[in-house]
Amino acid sequence: MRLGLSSAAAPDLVLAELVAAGARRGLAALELVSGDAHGVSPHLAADALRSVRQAAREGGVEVVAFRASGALEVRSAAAARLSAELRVPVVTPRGAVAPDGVEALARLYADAGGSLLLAHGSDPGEVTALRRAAERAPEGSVGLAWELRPGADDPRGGSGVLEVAGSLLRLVRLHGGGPESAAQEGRGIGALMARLALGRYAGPLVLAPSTPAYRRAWSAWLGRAGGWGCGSRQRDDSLVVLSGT
Amino acid sequence: MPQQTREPMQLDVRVIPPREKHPTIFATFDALEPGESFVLLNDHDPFPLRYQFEAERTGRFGWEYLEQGQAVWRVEISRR
Repeated sequence: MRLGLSSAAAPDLVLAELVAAGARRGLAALELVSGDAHGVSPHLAADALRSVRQAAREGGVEVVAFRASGALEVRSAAAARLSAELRVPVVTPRGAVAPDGVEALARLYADAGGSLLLAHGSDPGEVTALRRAAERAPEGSVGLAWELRPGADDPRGGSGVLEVAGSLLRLVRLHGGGPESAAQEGRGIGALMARLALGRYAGPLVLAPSTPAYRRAWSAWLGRAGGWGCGSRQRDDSLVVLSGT
Repeated sequence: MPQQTREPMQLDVRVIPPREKHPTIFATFDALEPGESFVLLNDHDPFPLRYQFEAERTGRFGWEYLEQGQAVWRVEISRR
């Protein structure tokens, strides 16, 4: 498993700043969200996209996904080309592609040399429908991306998602962690991480704010080095204190 | 459950709420078969955890630092 950062945590940072922030925090993976200030978009030329990948690697970080803005973008040939040039899957926002539309879309990506990840929540029924759709697509062209919201999801549901998604699970997007970690006690994150470890999940787990209201907290967290402890300290004044979600 | 058996087990505790870290680590350790191990990733040197292992899992664990970095520490914890 590789812990990573979503540009949603710092949408105003340019690519070099995102890479530096990730490296400073030991976050080896980077998810780029369409429209953020990093400047990566399906409209970039092939050599510019390859330069993005190279620049990130030189900074000690690997771009692992490009999250499309919506159905229109994810269905574009330009997005499929981006996936191929950047060598990362394009993530469809949850609900942007119906299961019966997956096969045709997957062919667009497969023909371009790219790949697609279908975002889903923590309902095993939703995952089952997407998994069946993915299995009808060209081999290797489609995987699953789990949007995990610990505040809203039943923590016990995680095991069901892992069972159903199986080896198609290629990305986990955790809404929280980082400066929100201490405020997410009792929401099943520890149990989830243990299950991912014991299941030998090898993909990225990217951190994103649970709500844009916490972006300032994330900005502060990304701007400083060092850890926030294992709980043995009685007090840490460097932590951002969050209200409950 | 993902079946990617060539990958080592990795438990990254950086996202786990502080008070849940040690219970999660011990639960993961207890789920191992003898001879198995996992790699613990943390954002600081987890040496207090080692003392807890010595007290609570005396003689039943191995501890090897794989990386002692500025941002990430990796320790292989094995079950004997």
